[in-house]
Amino acid sequence: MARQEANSGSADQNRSTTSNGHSRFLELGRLAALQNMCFSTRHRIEGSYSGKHTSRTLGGSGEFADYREYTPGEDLRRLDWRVLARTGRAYVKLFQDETNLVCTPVVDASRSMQFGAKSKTDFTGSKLEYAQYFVTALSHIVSFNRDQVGLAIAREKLDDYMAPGGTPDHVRLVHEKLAATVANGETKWDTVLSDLFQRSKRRGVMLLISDFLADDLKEMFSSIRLFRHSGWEVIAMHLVHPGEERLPTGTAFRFEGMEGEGSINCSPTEIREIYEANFDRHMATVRSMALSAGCDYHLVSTAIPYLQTLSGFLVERTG
Amino acid sequence: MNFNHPWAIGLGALAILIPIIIHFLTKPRPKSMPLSTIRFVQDAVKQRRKQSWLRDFLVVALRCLAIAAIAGAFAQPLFNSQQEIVVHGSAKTQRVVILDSSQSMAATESGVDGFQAARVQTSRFLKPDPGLRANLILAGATPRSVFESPSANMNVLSDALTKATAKPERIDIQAAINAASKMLTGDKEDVVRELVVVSDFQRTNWATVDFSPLPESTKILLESTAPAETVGNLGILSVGFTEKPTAGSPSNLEVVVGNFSGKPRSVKVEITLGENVFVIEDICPPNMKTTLTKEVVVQDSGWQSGWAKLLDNEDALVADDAYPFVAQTIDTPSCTLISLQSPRMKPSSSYFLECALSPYEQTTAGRMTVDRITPARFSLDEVGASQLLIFDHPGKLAPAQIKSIASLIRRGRGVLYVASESVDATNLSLLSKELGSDLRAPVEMVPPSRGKKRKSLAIGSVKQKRRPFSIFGDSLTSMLTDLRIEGGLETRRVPDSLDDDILATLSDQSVLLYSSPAGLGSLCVLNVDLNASNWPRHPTFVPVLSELVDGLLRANSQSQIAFCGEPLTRLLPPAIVSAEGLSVESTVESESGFGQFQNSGQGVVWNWRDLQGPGLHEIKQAPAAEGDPASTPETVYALASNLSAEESDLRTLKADVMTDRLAGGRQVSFHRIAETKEENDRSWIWFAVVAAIALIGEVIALRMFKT
Repeated sequence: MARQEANSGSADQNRSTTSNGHSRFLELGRLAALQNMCFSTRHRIEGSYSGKHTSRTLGGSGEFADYREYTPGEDLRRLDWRVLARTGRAYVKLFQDETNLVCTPVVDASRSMQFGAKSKTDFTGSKLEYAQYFVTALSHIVSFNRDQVGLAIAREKLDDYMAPGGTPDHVRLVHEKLAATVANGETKWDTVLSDLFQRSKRRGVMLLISDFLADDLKEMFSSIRLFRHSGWEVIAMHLVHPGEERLPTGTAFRFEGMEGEGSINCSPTEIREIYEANFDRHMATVRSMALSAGCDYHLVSTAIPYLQTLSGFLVERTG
Repeated sequence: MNFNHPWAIGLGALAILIPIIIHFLTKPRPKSMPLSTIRFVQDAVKQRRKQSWLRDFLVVALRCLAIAAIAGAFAQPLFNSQQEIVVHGSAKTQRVVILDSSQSMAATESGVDGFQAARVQTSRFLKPDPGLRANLILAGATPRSVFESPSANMNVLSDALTKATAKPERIDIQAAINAASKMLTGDKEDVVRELVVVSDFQRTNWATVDFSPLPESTKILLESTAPAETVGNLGILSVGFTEKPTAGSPSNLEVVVGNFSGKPRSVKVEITLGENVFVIEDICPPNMKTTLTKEVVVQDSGWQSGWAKLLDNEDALVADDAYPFVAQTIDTPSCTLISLQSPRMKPSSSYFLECALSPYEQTTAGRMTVDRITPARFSLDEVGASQLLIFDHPGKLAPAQIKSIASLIRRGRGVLYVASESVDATNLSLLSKELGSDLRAPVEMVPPSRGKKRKSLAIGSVKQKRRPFSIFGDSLTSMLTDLRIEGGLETRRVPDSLDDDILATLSDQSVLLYSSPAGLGSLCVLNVDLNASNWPRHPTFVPVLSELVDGLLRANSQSQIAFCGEPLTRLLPPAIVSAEGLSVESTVESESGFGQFQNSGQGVVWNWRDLQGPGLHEIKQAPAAEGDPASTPETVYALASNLSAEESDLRTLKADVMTDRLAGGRQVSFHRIAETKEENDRSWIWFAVVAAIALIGEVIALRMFKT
């Protein structure tokens, strides 16, 4: 299953890299099948370099796109002399520029992302581990396609931020940073996203991976709207663990909050229906808020292997 | 409220803790688990908290209730074991306990003796207690109290209670209440006065009871030992000949059987009379008295005694299944005519009377003899053996003769007085005074006013359905139209007298014929001058006179009956002239003897303060010639002591009658032991039902809360 697959490449949980210098979350052998796939966007993007993705600007090279009447002061090099000669009118030839994609995965590293871990020291099977595998693989594919990838770790503040880059060293650093990420505290999305917005110099794609178990959901999506208004494409990946969807069977449990909510004794049987209703309502709320904020919403269950999730995601993205 | 098994209550109180302890012990130990979505759990728990608390409370409460009910079922609580009266009190209390010891208390139901239950119930009120002074009255025909006033010596009362038995007698409850009233009456105001009556509260005995003699502050507790539903009973109520039997002639023996049950009963009565045994069979309708008649020929004259017994009868009361009876068989009905008129004077009033009695010989009474004497010869010795006395023109009777006549009437003789002269009014007035309260004559005879003659008086009214006119049936009125009465006396009604005794009146509203009982006998007055009237020549004369004589002879056929337990004072027949040489042979064993014989001015009186029975008692008189070995004591009188018919009817009064109508403003509480016992016997069922309901309720609660 997902966890087994995820664990298969990590011999030692405490080490962030393997013996060949790669991140323990990077499974190159498994990713080989996905290397031909491309992470694309549905919108025009703004990149630093030329690439495979449609740029927001219409430049002088690339594929012909359209004509436009010449306006005095424009670069004469783009004037279509042949049309001027034949018709006596001055037109400028427009070409669609292609640029590279700038992707910034934002990983929620609150304590709730640790849910599903085997123990307090062994995080195998947690949502964070799933996110680590997923983002590592995605960043590898993005960099493989000569796009730029960054990283933001969200906790109470924006703890770790790496501006997008495309070099192998940069990608390796991203992988290492990601592998070293440990869930801790709770996430203050308002603070994190505000900080990220200020530190981001170029518009790109923001991949938000979280369980959205936050108190400040409204503020969170308000901040996301800010990104959207600035031309960012925001993809919300809602991670759900099967253990969250259904309460465990048993007569009595002492449920302990993972972000300082305290503990509570109860019999899951008695509250199962109400709990599931509440959880479903929460899922629907997140989905509704994400869609209304213009995000591309994806509900991801950790029960599904991350490669399968990534494959489906890329197929959809490749179009 | 008391408990049969109080230990079960203590055990139950401890057991109630068990479900509470189990509730906490069996609470599942929670397994610790971190959960990211705890906020949804908290919301859910918040919503379910009240429901869960309610469920837990209900479950624990129902379990506790079930255990308490099971404990209650084992404890068997006694409800209403006491009401207004506290069995064990600390205040100064004067308590009188009346225990009904009449025969009906011995009635059994399902093999349980009612008196035994009453004794147990009574003992609860006679337990030693500080401040309590009590007395016990055993209420029968006469109340018998252990002490003269309430005492603190409960041991003696308990001993008396242990020895008490139901006696074959009826209860005079009013006498017992009056006795209790005397004991409870006093000046002390700080004393709690209590009267406890343990009885079956038979309707026949209690219908007219009055509690008003008791002090107003008396608390009255009536403890009924009667079963919740009246027990069926069949009993012989009376046995006797319809008329005095004549030796060798057939006589009708009547047995009255009461069926006090809701179903018709087949009755078989075996009658033993001397050496003869008869069996009568019939069916008795429910709740009715049935008279069974048997024609019996008694060959011997003198006193006859016998028993009537119910055969194949299993009912609540055994004592009333046998009934002793006696009868005096007369050999020759004898009649004495006392008159100043000469036997040779024909026609005359006495002549007509003598002639009129002749046809009677051939019809019913057989060889009836009529002796004629003058008033001068009249004495007890002369007429002692005569069953009937007829006075016609007797002239002025001496006071001694008047006394003798009164004595004879009291002892069962019948007297026919033909009043035609003024002196007869005086005689009858003196006789009436002599008989005193024994005679309630409806009219007073007065001589006719001077110058006013009673002539050609027609018959005014007659009681057609009464003797002696009933034999004529509907033709009576037409037969009496030409009858003309001459002479006689005027009459004056006695205030508050009985109209029923007047059998015929004349057209001037005067009374022609009346008959009144007096003592054991009766006095019949015929107000007519027979010689002057056309009645002796009228076809109705002989039948009317025969019927009158027949009725007078028939009177006193059952006078030899007395009720057990009651004081007996019996004036013996005139044939017994002295108390000397009299002895009693009885079928009853009596430690206190059989009473005493006393000579009085009216004859020999038999006094027995506490008549024992039921049984037969024969008075024997030693022969006059002492030392004659061939002579044996002769039975000169016989008496049967019986159980009162009231005791056979076991129907009881309702509680509201006792507490409302008969209470007389007193604080009366009524308590039926059988109902309480039945209620107590059933109480465990209710507790078990409550326990079952509690357990079912628990399951339903758990299902409702989806646990």
